[in-house]
Amino acid sequence: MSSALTAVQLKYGYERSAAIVKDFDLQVETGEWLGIVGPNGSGKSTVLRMLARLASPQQGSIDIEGRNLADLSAKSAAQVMTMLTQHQDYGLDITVRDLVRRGRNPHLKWYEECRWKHEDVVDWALRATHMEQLQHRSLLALSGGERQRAWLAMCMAQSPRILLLDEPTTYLDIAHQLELMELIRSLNRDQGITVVMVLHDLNQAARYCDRIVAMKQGEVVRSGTPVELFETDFFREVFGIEAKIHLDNGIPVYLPHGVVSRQHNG
Amino acid sequence: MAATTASTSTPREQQAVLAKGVRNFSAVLVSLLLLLAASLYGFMSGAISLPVHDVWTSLFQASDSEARQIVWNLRLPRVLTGMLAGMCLAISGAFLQGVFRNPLADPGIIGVSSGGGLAAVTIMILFPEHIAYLPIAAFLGALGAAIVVYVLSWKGGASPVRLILAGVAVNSLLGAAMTALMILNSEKVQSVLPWMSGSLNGRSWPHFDTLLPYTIIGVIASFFLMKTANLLVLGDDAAKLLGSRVELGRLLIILLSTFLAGAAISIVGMVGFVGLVVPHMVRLLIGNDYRIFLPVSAIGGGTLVIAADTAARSWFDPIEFPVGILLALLGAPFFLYLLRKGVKR
Repeated sequence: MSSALTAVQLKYGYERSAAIVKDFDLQVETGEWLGIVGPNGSGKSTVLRMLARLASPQQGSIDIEGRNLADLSAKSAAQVMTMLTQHQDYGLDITVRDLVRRGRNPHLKWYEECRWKHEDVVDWALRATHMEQLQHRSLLALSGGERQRAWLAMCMAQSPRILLLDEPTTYLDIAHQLELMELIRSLNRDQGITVVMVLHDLNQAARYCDRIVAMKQGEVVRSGTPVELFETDFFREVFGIEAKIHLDNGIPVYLPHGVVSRQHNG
Repeated sequence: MAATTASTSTPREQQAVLAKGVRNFSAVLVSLLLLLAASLYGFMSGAISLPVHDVWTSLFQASDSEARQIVWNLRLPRVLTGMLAGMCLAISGAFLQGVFRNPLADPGIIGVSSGGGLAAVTIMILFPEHIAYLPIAAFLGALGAAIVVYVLSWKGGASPVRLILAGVAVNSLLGAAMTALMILNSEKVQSVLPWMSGSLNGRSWPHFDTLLPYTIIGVIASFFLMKTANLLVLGDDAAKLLGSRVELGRLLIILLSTFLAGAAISIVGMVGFVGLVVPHMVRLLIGNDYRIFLPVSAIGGGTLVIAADTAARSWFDPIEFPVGILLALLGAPFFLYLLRKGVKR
C-alpha cells in the first residue's frame, strides 16, 4: 500500500510556552481509517489542523500522496484533501444543495460555475450522504445531525481522496453519532477514501478505526490496532483512568472505573 | 462514479427547484418594479406635482415646457444619482455583512463614514475655498481610514473580530477629531450639517456623471467577487479547505466595498442605514446566495434612496429634509419590526 499522508517531525507552539505539538511523526496508508485520540490539550486537533493546512507547522514537513503540502497551491491541496470541522453553524440561510455545490470550488476555474458534470458529482455526494430528500431545505431548517451530514456532503462534493474529521460526533445524540460513523465507514470502504479522525469516544475509535494513534502533551505515546492498544496500562498512562477491557465480537470495549489518583508534587 | 446517475430527481424535487427559480425570478422582477415605481414617484413629486402624462412626455420628448425643465434637469438626475448611491451602499453593505459574518456590519464599520466624514468636514470648515475637491477628499478619506483599519487588524491575518475592533477604535478617534473640528469652528457647522446627514439636495447631472463610472467599475468587480463571498460566508476554515485564498479574498472585498461606499458618500454625504438595512431585509426574504442576494440588494438600495429622497423633499415642502435623516427615522422602526418578526418561509 502506498502512503496517503506522511508527517515528519512536526512542531507547533507559541513563543514563551511549551510546544503544543512536538516530534510528531505520522504515516497514513491509502484507504486506511486512522483515529487520533488523547486527553484534552494533547495537541490532537492541532495536528489535524496542520494536516489540513489550516495551521502551519514551525518545523517538519507534511506530504500528501508523495507531494510536499507546503508546495501545493490551496486549490490543488483542496482537490485531494478536505476536513469536516467541528462546528460550522453561522445561521446561513442557503439550501443544502447550494452548500454542497460550493464543494466543487477546487475543481472549478475562476470563471466557471458549478454546472453539468459538476452537478452530477453534487448529485452523487448528496446520495452518498443520504441528503437527497433534504437537498432543497434551508440549512436553518435542519437538525444538528442533518446539518453535519450536509457539511459532509459538501466535503464529498470535493471528491477528496483524504478526509480529515475533527470530532464530528461531538454535538450529536448517540443515534446520529452512529449514523455518521456508519456513513463514513461506507465512504471509507466503498470509495476507498483515506480517513483521519480525531475523536473523543474511545469505544467508537476501537469499533471503526483500523489503527489508533494516542497523543499526550503534544507527542505520540502509543499507536497500534485497537486490540493492541486497549490495555489497562494504556488507559492509566494516557488518560489517567482505571478501566476494564472487554471484547465484543473481537472489538475491544472499555468501561471506566475511576480516576487514577494523581500525584501532587507541584 | 457519478456519470450514470445524472437525472434521478423526483417530481417533488423538480418542484422545489422550480419554486426556487420562481422565487428568485420574482424577487428580481418585484425589486425592478419597485425601482420603477420609486423613480416615477421621484419624477412626479416635489414642490410642483406633475401628472404621469407630463412626466412621460418630458422624459421622452425634448421641449421648452416647464415640466420638461423640472423633470429633465432637476428630478431625473437627482433620481439617478440617488439610485447609484443607493446601489453602491447596498452592495457594499451586502459584501461586508458576508465577509464579517455579522448582520450588523455596514460601510461605517471599516471607517468609511468617519474617514470620509473627517476629510469632508476638514474641507468644508478649514478650506471652504477648495470645496470643489470635497468629493475626492471624502473618497480618499474613506479609503485611507479603511486601509488603516485593515493594517491595524493584521496579525498573521485579518480576522473579522479584529477588523471590527480596529474599526471601532479608528471610528471613535476620527469621530472625535471631527467633533473637535466642529466645536472649534461652531459658526461654520450649519453648512456641514446637511452633508453629515446625507443629502441629495442640488445633485444634478455632473454628480451623476461623476458617480456613474465608479458604480460601473464596482458592479463589474462585484460580479467577480460573488463566488469568493459565497465561500467566505461559510467561515474562514471552510473557505480555506475549499481552496479559497481567504485573506486575499477578504481584502479584495473590503477594498471593493470601501470603493463603492466611498464613492457614494463623496457625492451624497453620509447617508447611513441603506448599507445596513437593505441587505439585511433582502437576506431575510431570499437567503444568502450572493448570486441573487447581491443584485436584489443593489436594486433595493437604489429604490430605497430614491423613495426616501422624494419623500424628504416633498413631504415637508418648502423645507428640504436631508434624506439620511428620513431614512433613519423611518428605517429604524421598520428594521426593528423585521428583527422581531423574522420571516417565516
